[in-house]
Amino acid sequence: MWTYEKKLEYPINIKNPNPALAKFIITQFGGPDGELGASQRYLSQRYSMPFNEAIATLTDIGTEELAHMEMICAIVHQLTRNMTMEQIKEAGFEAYFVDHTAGLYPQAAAGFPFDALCFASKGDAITDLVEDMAAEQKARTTYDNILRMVDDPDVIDPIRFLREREVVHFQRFGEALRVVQDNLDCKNFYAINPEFDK
Amino acid sequence: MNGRDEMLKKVQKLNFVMIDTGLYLNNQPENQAGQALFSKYQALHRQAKEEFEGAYGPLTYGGINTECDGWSWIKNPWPWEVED
Repeated sequence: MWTYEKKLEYPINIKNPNPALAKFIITQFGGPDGELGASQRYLSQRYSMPFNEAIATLTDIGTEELAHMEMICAIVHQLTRNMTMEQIKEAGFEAYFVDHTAGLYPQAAAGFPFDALCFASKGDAITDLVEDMAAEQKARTTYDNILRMVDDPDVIDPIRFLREREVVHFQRFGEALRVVQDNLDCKNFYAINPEFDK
Repeated sequence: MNGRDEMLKKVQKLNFVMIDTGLYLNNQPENQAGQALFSKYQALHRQAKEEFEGAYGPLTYGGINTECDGWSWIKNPWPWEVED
């Protein structure tokens, strides 16, 4: 089970609201490479995963992604607080505002809502861990793209932290994949699926 | 039911009292009887959790004891596992 810790993993204090940034940063909440999809992908894959190292990796990274989802929501919230109608119109934030006011709703930068199709869970240890490594790289690219468009140091700092965690998670999933492969037939990793065949 | 299951059930029961009482107190934060109940079970839960973790390994990162048990986090049975 889970318990809530009443703190962010990394501090966020954005002095200047800026809904134009919130419009695309929200993609890391509800977009295809966002933190919501990441957390549910890893936590769903745990149950049939063989080998304790990989189960612990999925559990702990899946849990950390929940903390990252909270950080993204905190960033979007701070960027959209105390908005005037003029700021909303200037930033092109009208469409989101009409549907959700300044509430948090999981959607991609392009405006489409969260879709569970993005959290792959295939029930095959190699397939899922390779998926997870790619997912971390996709999220890292997304953070790199966000950093190209942001000039507020209060936003850059926590986004850089989140980007760095994607790199670390990629390394840890790579090690978990190695543990799985070390437990398989080295001449043919695909001779069996260790999540299904006994 | 083995010793581990019995001890875990005790932790689960005490924790559930905290969960349920906490939900009540969120909307009735001044309720003295509720606060006393929460406080009582908070202490009982803390003690039962420490006893469980000392005997059977960690339930959270806070219960990990690397000096005695090494990296016991990955050794525990996972909560969704059943014995065949």
